[in-house]
Amino acid sequence: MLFKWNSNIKEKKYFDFNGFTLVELLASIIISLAVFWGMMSLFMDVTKNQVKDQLMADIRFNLSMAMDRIADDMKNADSINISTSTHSKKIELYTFNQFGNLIESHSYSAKNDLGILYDNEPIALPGKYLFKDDGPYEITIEDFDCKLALNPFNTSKRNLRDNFFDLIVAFKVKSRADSDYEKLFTFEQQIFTLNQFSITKVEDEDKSEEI
Amino acid sequence: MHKRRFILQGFTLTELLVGILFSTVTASAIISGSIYVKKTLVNIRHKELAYEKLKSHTEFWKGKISSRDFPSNLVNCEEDVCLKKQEMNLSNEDQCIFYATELCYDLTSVNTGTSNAKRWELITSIKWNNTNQGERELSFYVIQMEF
Repeated sequence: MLFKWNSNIKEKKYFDFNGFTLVELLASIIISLAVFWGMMSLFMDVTKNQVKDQLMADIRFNLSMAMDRIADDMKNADSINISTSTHSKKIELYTFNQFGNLIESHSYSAKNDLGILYDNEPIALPGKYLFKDDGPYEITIEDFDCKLALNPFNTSKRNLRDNFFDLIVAFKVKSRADSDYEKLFTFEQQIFTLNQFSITKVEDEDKSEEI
Repeated sequence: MHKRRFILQGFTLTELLVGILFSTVTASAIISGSIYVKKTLVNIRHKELAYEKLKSHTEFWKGKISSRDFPSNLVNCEEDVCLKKQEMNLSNEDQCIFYATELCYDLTSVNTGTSNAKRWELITSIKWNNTNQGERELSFYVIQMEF
């Protein structure tokens, strides 16, 4: 009887703990691999898009900071001159003392592979590294322009027309890994140069235009 | 014979359905999560565009007040102002892909008493439609002196 009980246990144990068969193991490995591959490709896709979005956010942040800085300096300048340099438009800003002597002058321009330049040197902003050659994306400044924004239809005041600027920066992002990826972004900001306006307001524009 | 049948019996319908249910729940969680993130990013970008436009609009009205070039209507709104164009190529014709529903200004003269420094209160605002979140609004308040 004891022998019978013992053999029953052995039989049962063998049946319950026989593990997976080779077919089950292979099938489960194949299914797991398929699911894992699907999840990983989705994850890689999400990561790639996140890297792209992060880069775009960095570029936007870099350029909007640069534009805010240019706008602030233009508002505070006593005199502004827009000229054309070798690579782009050049914004020259002058500050005078109370006797009309020049205290300081600075300039903003852009070079397509260096970004926005302040006194001919790249601006030291957080995203400066983006314009380096060894990055995964090629970022070039396509357009850097500063021009008068208003015409007589917008305002009859000449002094306002002479002190209201449109600052435009367009840049192109190209992926070095994916030749199809190319995007063009344009930033536009209108700036009222209050300091120059208040200094140069000497005549009644309406009357001068009538003459 | 019994052992052979056990090996080749495959999954039952219940096992299959439970498996499909788990996969569906996981997949829908991942997809809805990524859609939510995408929408949030788009909405942030729209807010940035609206902010940039409102800043330029406010600068324009500050200039108008400074030069005493006042409009006949002290309160007015523009509708359907383009905030983003399809940026394909510099030479191509651009097509607007995102609009502000309203861009407004409101000018109010400030009582300055005997002071010669006349000032105006300027309130500018912009409204736009967010993705699935209805209408949003940003507003600036500025006091500007006449020159």
